[in-house]
Amino acid sequence: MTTWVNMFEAGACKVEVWDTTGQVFIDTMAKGDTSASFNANNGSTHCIVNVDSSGAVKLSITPDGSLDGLSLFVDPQYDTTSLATRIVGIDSSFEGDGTVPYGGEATADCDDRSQDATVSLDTSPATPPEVDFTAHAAGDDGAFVGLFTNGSTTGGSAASLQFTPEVEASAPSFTCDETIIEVWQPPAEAYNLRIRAYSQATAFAADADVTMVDSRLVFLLALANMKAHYGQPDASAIANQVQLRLRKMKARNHNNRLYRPQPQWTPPPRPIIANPDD
Amino acid sequence: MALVSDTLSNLRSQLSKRLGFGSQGDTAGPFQDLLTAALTDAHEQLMYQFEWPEIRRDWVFPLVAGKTLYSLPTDSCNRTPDPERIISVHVEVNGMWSPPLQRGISPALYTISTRGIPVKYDIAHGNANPDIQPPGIAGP
Repeated sequence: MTTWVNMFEAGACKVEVWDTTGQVFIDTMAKGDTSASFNANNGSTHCIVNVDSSGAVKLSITPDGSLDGLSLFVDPQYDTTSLATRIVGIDSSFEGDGTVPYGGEATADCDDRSQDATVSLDTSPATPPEVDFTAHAAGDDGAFVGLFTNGSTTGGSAASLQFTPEVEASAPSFTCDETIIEVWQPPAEAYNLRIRAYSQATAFAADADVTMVDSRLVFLLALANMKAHYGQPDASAIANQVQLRLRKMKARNHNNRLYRPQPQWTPPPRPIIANPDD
Repeated sequence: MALVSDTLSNLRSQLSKRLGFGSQGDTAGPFQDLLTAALTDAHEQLMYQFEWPEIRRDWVFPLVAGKTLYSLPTDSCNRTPDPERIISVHVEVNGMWSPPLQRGISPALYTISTRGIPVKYDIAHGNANPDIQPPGIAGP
């Protein structure tokens, strides 16, 4: 199951506005930011972009302009190349002399043009205002998403175009039962990882398999167990040999590590409570 | 003192003799199966009961940029780290090895997908996931 988080959740994103002649606005924005006003070449002046506290991005134009041919893109500044993206909450509003509700279409865009989809800007669109893109190759900065108004919009003034960009949460999914190691955060480069651990026991069931620990200890422990199994009287003597050898080996394994006994803890004396009858 | 190791076949033969059944020879059969089981059990018991320095090793392998899940590595001796007995995990950045990574990854961290230097690790279960990378073998 894919879980989604707002694209601004993981950091600031680059927001761009384009018209038919080229880019007219670009800035790195975070939640709560509002841009300075700018002009587009389609006659729209005093355009403003803002990102609200929930992470929805909105392009607003004043009554002297039009949304025709304007596009609004969000480009995350962190890597989303292995993650799916989507835009939800697509919304548009129009006031003034335009037709209300306003008709028109936009194209939901991402790096992979084969995934582009047409979105209706009607107030009651036949197509739900949500477009999902699967993970795809993108630049190092991740996969951008955006809306491109097709120029089929008519009339209108004091309009706005709004959507919420989202990215797949990077929580991994575990499906079967192989023991794996997980690291966080995702590595930026091919760093080396060093695991210092005790080895799992290798198979010791075929004739040619060799012991991973002292073979005499393995032999003596097996011998003590088998002698006890057959009720042989020297079973306990062999078991003592196992203990002695084990103790000696463990002492040797201390190497140059010292054992310093801690001062013995003595409990405080019990309080003497006077007997009220005395 | 170097590790003294021997094959299962040799140990079973000695065991048979010490139990007084040497005349039966080292042939297949229920008795041999019993001896094999005794040796296998003893070996396994000693492996898990004590932290022998002979079985402590380092496994080193390269991570893949952007990938967080990795199969446990196998070294050139066909040994794999015991996930229940990991001593420490370190990452090498610009030739410098980090202090031990903290174990435990809170799900809250999954909301952030920014790449960087790994600072945490954990052991999990899963495979058949395209995110899992088969690590290269680069054991010491």
